Amino acid sequence: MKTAYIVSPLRSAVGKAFRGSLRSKRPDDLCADVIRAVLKDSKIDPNLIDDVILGCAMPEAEQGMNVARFALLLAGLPESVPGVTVNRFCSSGIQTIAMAASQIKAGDAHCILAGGTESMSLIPMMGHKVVGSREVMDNHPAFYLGMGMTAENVATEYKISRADQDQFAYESNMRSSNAIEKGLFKKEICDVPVTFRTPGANGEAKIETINFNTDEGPRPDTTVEALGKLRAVFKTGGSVTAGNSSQMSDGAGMCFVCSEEFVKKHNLKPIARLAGYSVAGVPPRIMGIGPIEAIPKACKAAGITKDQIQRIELNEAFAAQALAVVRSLGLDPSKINPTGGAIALGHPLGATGAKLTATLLHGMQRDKQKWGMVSMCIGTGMGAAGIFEML
Amino acid sequence: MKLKIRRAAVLGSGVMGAQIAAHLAAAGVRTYLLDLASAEPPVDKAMAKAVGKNFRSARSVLAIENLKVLKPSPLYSSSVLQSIIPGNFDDDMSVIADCDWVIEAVIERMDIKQDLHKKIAEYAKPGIPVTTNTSGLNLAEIVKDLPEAYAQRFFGTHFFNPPRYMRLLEIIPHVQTNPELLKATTDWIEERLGKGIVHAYDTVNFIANRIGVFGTQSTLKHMAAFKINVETVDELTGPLVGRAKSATLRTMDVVGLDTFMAVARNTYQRAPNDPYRDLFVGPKWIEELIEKGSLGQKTNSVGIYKKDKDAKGKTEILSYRPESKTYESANPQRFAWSEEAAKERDTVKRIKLILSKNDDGATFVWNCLRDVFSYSSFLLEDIAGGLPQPVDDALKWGFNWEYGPFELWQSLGFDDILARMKKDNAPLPSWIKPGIKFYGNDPASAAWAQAGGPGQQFLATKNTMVPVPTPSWNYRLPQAENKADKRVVMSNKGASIVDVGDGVATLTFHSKMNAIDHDLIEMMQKAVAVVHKSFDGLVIANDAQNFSAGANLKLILEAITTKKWDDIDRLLRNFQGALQLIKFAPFPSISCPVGMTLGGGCEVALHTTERVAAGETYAGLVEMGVGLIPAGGGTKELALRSYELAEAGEKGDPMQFLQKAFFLIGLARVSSSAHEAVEMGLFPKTTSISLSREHTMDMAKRHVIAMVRDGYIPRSPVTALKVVGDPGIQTFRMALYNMAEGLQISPYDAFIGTKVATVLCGGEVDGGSIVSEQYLLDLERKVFIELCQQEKTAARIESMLKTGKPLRN
Repeated sequence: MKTAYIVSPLRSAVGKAFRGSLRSKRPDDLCADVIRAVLKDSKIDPNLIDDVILGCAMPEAEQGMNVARFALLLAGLPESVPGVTVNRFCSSGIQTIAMAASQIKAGDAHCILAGGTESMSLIPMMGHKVVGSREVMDNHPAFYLGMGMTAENVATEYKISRADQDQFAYESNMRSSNAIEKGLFKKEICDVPVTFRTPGANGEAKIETINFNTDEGPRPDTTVEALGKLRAVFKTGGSVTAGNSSQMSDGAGMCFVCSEEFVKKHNLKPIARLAGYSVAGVPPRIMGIGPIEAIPKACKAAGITKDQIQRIELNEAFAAQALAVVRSLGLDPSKINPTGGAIALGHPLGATGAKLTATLLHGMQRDKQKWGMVSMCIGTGMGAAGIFEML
Repeated sequence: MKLKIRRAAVLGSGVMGAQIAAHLAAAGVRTYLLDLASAEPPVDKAMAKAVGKNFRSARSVLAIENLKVLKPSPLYSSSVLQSIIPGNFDDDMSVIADCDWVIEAVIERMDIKQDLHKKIAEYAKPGIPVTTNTSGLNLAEIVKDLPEAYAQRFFGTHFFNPPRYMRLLEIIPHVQTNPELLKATTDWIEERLGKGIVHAYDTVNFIANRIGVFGTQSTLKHMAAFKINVETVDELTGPLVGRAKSATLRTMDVVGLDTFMAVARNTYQRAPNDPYRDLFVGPKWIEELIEKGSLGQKTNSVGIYKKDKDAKGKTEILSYRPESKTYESANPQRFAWSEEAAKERDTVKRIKLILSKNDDGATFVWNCLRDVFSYSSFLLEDIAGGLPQPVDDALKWGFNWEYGPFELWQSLGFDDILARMKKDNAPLPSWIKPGIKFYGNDPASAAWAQAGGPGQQFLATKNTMVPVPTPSWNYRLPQAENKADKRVVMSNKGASIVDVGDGVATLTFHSKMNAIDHDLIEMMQKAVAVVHKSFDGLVIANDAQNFSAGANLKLILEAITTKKWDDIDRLLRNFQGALQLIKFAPFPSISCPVGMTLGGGCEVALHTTERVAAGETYAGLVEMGVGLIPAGGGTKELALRSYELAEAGEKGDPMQFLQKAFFLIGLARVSSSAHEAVEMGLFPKTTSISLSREHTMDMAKRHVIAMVRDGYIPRSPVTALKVVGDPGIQTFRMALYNMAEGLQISPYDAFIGTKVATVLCGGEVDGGSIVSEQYLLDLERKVFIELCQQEKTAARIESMLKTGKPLRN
C-alpha cells in the first residue's frame, strides 16, 4: 500500500472561549489564516491541491455552510480547489487527516489539505438549536447524557479520585506553562491577526488589530489546593470540576497529506507518515473511555505495540477519563502530554485532532522520537487514535 | 406645592448614607453618593480593583460595592446600582446644583455637619430641601451660622436602619423651617419612598430613639434588680410583650453597644431635666464590654451574646454573665405562667395575663412596661407636642413594636394601669387623670380596623380630643366580611367588592393568608359582572401585608384523599374561568401585588390588564414545591408571553423564551422585590412599582380611570398559537434527565418538570401545531390532576401544610 505523508502541520494558538482573543474571530477566517501559513511553509502550488477536508464538531452558523469551502476560498486558494466538511465531534480534526490518507493510499489523490476549525465562542456546544427525540428520551436517555456527567460516571466506575484528577489537572497547567515559557510551541503556531471592533465615541467602532500567537489557557499560578477548592459542576457531591475538565476554546489546525510520488516530484520535506488510524464505539454513558478501545486497534493497524510509542497526545477532555485510559491500558504516564493538554491548553472540539497532530509531530521532531500517537474520546461514546511515524 | 425630585445627593457614604441612596435609586431617583476624597488608591488589591481609576471617590465606590453584600439586601434589584453615582466632596460638589434634594448623612459631629452645610449652601439650587440624617443632634445649631434662606429649607430626615425595611422616618423641623416645603417633601417621601412619617420636635434623640433607648436602659436596671439573666430578659421583652424578636439585648448587639450607649449619653448630656436622667449612664458591665471591644454583631458577633461553635461544630449562641464576666450556654428562666402565656396568641390578652401574676418575672415585665408608659407620657408635650400617635407610630415603625406605648396602655385598661403606676409612685405628667382615652377607637378593636385608624386622639396640651384624618389615599378596605360598610357592594367570607368611588370597584380578599378558595373565586366572577353593570374599571387589592399565599392547599388535599378528581377539575375550571373573565373583560383591571404574591395569588396578578406592585413584593409561581404546577392560567400566561417574544424575531426560536419560563416555574423562584419580579420575567415589563404599599391602591385606581378615559381596548383570546409541541417537551426532558443524573433534582422533580414542559410546549403534539389559549388551560388542568394522583404530590402537600416547608421527595 502507498504511504501518506504529513507536510507542514501547523495550528493557531488556542483562545479561551467567550473572553479570549479569538472570541470574535470567525472560524472560517481563522482556518483561512492557518491554510495560508501551511501553504507558505510547504511551498506547495495551490493549484495542485486535490481537496480540502475540514473537521468541525458543530458545523452551523459561522462554521456552517460547508465551512471547508468557505475557508479555502477565503484563504485565496484557486476556485478550482474543492472542499468538504467532516464531523466526528472531538476527533474531527484527525478524522480528516485519516480520510485524506485513505485517498492517498488508494491512489485517488496526491495532495490533500486536512485539519479542523472550531469557534466555541460563537457556536455553543450542541449548536444553537437543540431538539430532543422522544425515542431517545423514552428508551435511551443516556445518549443525551452531558459530557460532564459521562466523566462523573467514568470517575465512579474506574475509581478515579478527586485528588488524582486535580493532581493531573495541576500537572497539565505546569507542563503547558513551562512549554510556553520555553517557546516550545513557537514552531507549530502560525500568526493569526485578530481585529476587534469595540464601541468608540460618537457612534464610531474602534478598530484594533492584534497578532495572536500564544495559547492563553494555562494558569501557571494554580495550585493543587486551589483546584481542590472548586465545586463539582455537573453532579452534586461529584468530583468533576471546571478545573479538572478541558476548557472551551477557539482554534484551528491544518496540514498537507501527500503521496510519495507528490513529495518526490515537488521536493517536499514531510515530517511524518500516518501509520494507522482507528475509531471504536463504547457506551455513550461512559464516552470518555473511547481511547481504551481505539488505541489497541490503531496499534494493530500500524503494526506496532503500544510500548513502542514514545509520545502520546491524549486529549484531556476530563482528567477522570484521561486517567481511566492511562490506567486501563497501562500507558506510561511520562509519555503522555509532555507539554500539557486540553485541561490547560483548551479543547477547540473539531480542531483538536489537527492541533494535537501539530503538537505531537513538532514535539517528536524536537525530541528526536520515532513513534507517536494522537488519541481522544468522542461524545456519544467513541474513541479515535492515530499513530504517526517520524521520518 | 408639589415637589419633583428626580435627582438627589446623599453626602456621607456610611452604612446609612449608602442605603438611603439605594432606597432613593429604587424609587427612580438618580442619586449622587458623595464622601471625603481619597488621596491615593486603596492598598487592598480587591478594593483597588473595584475602585479602578475613580480612586478619588474610593469611599463611595466601595460603599456602593458593599450594598451588594449587605444582608438583608438594601437593593430592590441590582439594576438599581446604575442610578447611584459615586463622587467626592473635593471634585464633585457641583453635581449638587442639579439635585432636587440634598441629604447630609455624615458622622454625628456638630462641627463637621456645620462645615459641610456651609459648603452645600454654595452649590444647592435655591428652594430645594436640604436635610440632615441625624439621630440626635440639635438642628438649629447645625445651621446657626447660615443665611436665613438656607435655614428655611433645612430640616431633619431621620431614617432608621435598615432604611429599605424600617418604615419609620422622623421628620424634624426647626424653628426656621418653611412649613410649606416641609409638607411637600414629607408628602413626596411618604408616597415615593413608602416611609411612615412621624413629625418630631427638635429635642434630644427625637422620639423613637429617646423612648426606645430609655426602654432599654430601664430594662437593664430592672434586670440587675431582679437578677434576671441576659437570655431571660430577651424572652420577657420580645414578642411575648409585643416587641421585636431581637427584644432588648439582642437589639443592642445588632445596633452596636457603642452606638447605643452614645445615644444614651446624648440624652444624659443634653437633657438635664429628664425625670429618669440617671438611667442613661451605664450599666458598668456594658461599658466594660465596650472597653473590651465586644460591641456586638459588628465585632465578629461578640457582644452581649457570643456566636460560638460547640464540640460538634454546631453554632451556639452563648450569653454574657456580668457577674463572672464570662460567656455561658443559654439557660433561660421559666416562670409558673410561661407555658400559659406562650399559648395565648393575642398580645394584649397575653400581657394582661402576665400582669395578673406577681412573681419576679411578671413584676419585671410590669416594671419595664410601667417605666415606658411613665416616660412616654412625661415627655409627650416636649417631644411630640402632646399627641400620642406620633410616639406610638415611632415605636411601631422604628423598633418593630406591635403596639406603641399609648396604644398598649389603653388596650390594657387605662385606669387599671394608672392605678398601679400611682401605687409605684411612677413619675407622671399633670394631664394624666383617670378616665382619659388616648384614642377614639380602641387600638386592638374592629372599629379601629374599620375606620383605618383611631378617628380621634387626645391632645395633652389642650386636654381634648382632636380628629385624626384618614389620608385620601387610604381606602380602608375591609379585612373581613362586613355588611355594615356601606361601600361594600357584595361580600362573602373570603372576599368583598367595594365601591371606592369615581366609577372604580375594588375586589379585596380577606380569607386566611388571602388563600384562594371557592369564596374568592365566586367573588372574582361576581366582580366582573358587577363592574360590567355598574362600574368603569376594576382594582384587585388587599389592605394587607400579603396579597395572597396561593390556593387553599387544604381544599386540594381533601379532594386528593377522597379521590374527588372532578372536584379538583371544577375548582380549576372556575378559577381559570374567573381569571379569563377578568383578562378579557370589556373594562380594564389592575391588581396590586404586595408581600407574598404566590401561586394562585401570582396567577391573579398575571391576568389583570396591569399591575401596580408594592416594592416589597415577593412573587412566584411556587406550585412545584407542593408537587403541582400553576393551573389557574399561570403556566399558560408565561407560555403565551414566551411565544410572543419569539415572534418578535422573524426566525425566533420560542424554546429560549420557554426555557426562562420553565425555570421560573421549575425552580419555584420567588422575587425579592417587585423590581426583581419584572426583571426575572415573571411580571410584564409594563408593571408599575411603588415603594409605598399604602399608595398602590390609589395609584391603581387613578390608573384604571385613566385607561377608561383614554379608551380601553379589550384583549381577545389567542385562537391560533404555533407551539413547539412534543419535540420541545423532549428537549426539556434532556435537561431534566441530566439534572436528575447529576443529583441536582430528584427523579420526581424531573417528573413534575416534564409536566411543566408539557403545558409550556403546547402538549404532546407535532412541532408547529396550532392550538388555542383554551387548549393550554385544558392542558394545565389535565397535568394538575395527573400530578394530584401521584402519592409524592400528596406527600408534598401534607408536608407543606404540616411544617410550612417544601418536601423534596
